[in-house]
Amino acid sequence: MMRRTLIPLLLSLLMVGSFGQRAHAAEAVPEYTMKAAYLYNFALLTTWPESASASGPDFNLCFYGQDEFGPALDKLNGKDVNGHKIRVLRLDRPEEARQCQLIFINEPNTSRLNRLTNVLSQAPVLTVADDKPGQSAMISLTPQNQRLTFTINASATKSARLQLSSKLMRLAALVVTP
Amino acid sequence: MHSLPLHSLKPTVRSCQKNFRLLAVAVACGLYMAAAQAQDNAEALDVTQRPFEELLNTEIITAAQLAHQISGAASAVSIVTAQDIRAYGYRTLDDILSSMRGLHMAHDYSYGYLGGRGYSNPGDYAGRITLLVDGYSAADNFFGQSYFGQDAFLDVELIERVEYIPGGGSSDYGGGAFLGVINIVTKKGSDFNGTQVAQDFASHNTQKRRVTWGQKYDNGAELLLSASSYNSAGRDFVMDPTNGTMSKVGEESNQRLFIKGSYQGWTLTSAMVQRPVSIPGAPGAVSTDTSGFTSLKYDTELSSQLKLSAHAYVGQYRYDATYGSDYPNDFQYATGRWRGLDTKLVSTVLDQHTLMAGVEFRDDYRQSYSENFVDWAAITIDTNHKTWSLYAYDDIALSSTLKLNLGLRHDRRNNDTSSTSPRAALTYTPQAGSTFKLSSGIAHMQPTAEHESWPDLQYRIEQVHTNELVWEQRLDQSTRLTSSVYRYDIDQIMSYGPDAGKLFTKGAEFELERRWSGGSQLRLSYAWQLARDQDDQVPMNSPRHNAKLNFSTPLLGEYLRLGMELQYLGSRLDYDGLEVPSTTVTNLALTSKNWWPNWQISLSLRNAFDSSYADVQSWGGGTPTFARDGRNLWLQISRDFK
Repeated sequence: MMRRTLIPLLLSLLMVGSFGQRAHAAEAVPEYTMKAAYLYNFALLTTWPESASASGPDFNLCFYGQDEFGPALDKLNGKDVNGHKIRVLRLDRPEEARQCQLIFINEPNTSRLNRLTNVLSQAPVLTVADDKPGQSAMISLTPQNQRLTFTINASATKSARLQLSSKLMRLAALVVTP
Repeated sequence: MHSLPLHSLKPTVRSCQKNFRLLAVAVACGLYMAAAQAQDNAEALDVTQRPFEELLNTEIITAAQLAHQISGAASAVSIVTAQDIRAYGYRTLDDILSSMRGLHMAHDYSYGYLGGRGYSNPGDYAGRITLLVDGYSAADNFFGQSYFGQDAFLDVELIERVEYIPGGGSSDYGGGAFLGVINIVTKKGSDFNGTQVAQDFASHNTQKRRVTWGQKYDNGAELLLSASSYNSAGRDFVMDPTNGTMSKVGEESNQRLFIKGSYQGWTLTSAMVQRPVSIPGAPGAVSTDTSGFTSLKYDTELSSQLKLSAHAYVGQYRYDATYGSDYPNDFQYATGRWRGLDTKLVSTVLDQHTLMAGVEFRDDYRQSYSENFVDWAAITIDTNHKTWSLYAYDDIALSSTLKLNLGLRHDRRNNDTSSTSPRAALTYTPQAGSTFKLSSGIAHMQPTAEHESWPDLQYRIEQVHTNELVWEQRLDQSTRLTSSVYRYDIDQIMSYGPDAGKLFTKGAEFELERRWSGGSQLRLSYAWQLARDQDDQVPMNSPRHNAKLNFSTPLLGEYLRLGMELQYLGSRLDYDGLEVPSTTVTNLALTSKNWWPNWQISLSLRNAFDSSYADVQSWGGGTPTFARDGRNLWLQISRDFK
């Protein structure tokens, strides 16, 4: 009787005790924390046409669709992008997308996605999405060998008059040109 | 013996005793510490400060690893991934399910019986949940039983993920999914990309061999082939002074084949397993289960807003028992054959709606059974069933935070018996990371061919009302807390008297899942349940408390990993209403991957502290419980050839 209850207790305490040591030996980063950091870097390494930054002093970093980011995206609020403060916006309607500089899309519903694509057609908004069937964006993110890689659709960024830095082009796993 | 008719409502007198406090304290303490730790950790990470080049080379912990759910399930889903299977040294589906919140298994050394959410008479629950292998319903069509041990279809090394979705699933999956659904997702050719050879050695003179080959071709086609064989000598068993010693209990062997191929929208899956096992207490007696299926699926997009999915399948099952040289003329023999076609359309034409409608036809064209026992009248049964089902659901986005899900399924069997199972669920996401799910539904179970074969059994279409509230809270990117309260009211339970049985269950469940960036992971769960029958008695084998703790951590990077597992099952009643004491079992596993390139070694110690405990059996007589194995060891060595 003694052993049946004591051993689990000891083991549990042992496990709890070992948490602290492990937690900060940090190397790997949660996927969405990493994705948020990528978005921040995309923002830093892209130049928008004059007309796009006329919308206000803020850099509108938007999100559309099913939210898997959680608080990771909100941590970007207030960070500086070339003199503009990031404002994280979660969009309810596709029509709101034109006020964004950058938008991350995770929308499985095709009709809603098509509406967003129509709204954005050639607007200077950098679109980013996970590389999965049905999603298309200027930059697609793909997990590969436990790293996060990205692909750039250069013809799409060009028609939206966005200028991606040579550093960004160099770091991409693949650059698709027409 | 095979699954026996229902005795779930055997009146019982005693209630469960609480021998539980210490573990509860430990669990609560663990929950608190882990939650506090989670908070600290989230703040320590500001990866935007690191150079982009460095980020590209930093490992990520994907959301899939912090298991994500099958879409739309308005339930508290549990998931075990291939990574968990390795880390904790699971050898059977039985081991995997035993590690899930609120579930427990009872064994009689021939079969494993699943229990959960109050409904726990060994032999009953298995027929009241649906086990799916890549969407194919894997139960046999005579006993209606799913198989979890060496009699299961799959080697666990071929499993990518196992999902358990509690709650009435009849509106989605039909009659078998009375109390829940277990969905197995198998691996693909690209998960192996070459040949893998494995050899296992374990206690009780057990060995297993497996060869798996998988490939992905440039045109996108994938192919996976796997074959394995297993044999175990069983153990000698001291029952009690009067019954003496039984030898070779659990002596069994199996052979398995698995084939999976996919090209564009087509997926072909085929599996076969044959498992002879000794029948405890009858020298020389052997029962053999043989199951096989082939399923062909086709998925296509008819337009950007309309998808078609078609699924054709054939399956067969054979049960063959002989009773040794003492009873040369005794035998039991069951055989089942079935085929079916299931077609559905999914449309997103309407704004804010995801609409699905489908039709399934299933032909159980052979369901036969014969038995011959000395002193008993011989029985021969030959029957068949045809079932038509129509089903539909609608996923409606009411606003950006509120989703309504409505489902309905109508099953009609042999043009005479029919049932309609509705379900409604509301999902509310007030902010990212918080989700509330409220669901309510009615599910049905048609009697199996076996039920119909028992002359005295009053079989009916059983009905369950389920109500559940789930709260999922993400504490940070790698920590998730799931809580659930539910109530199940089961009515029209098949019985031997004129009155239908009833069962009322209420319960609460909690689970904390956490992954550290260093590679450690934790899963802690606790399930409380209280079941009462129509006479206000607690049914047999329905423990009030069920707690689990899983922790795994890398010791030398990913070269060496330690997995620890603790399972507490509260006291429960046996068939005669006597209390079976609570049990705590500890399992340990040590796995090494690529220490030597392409070699993987896994060593697991089950019941590491040699606790003595027993499982409740489905009927009383001389053996109300069966003692389980003490400490036992399992070693697996595998090598990849790429």
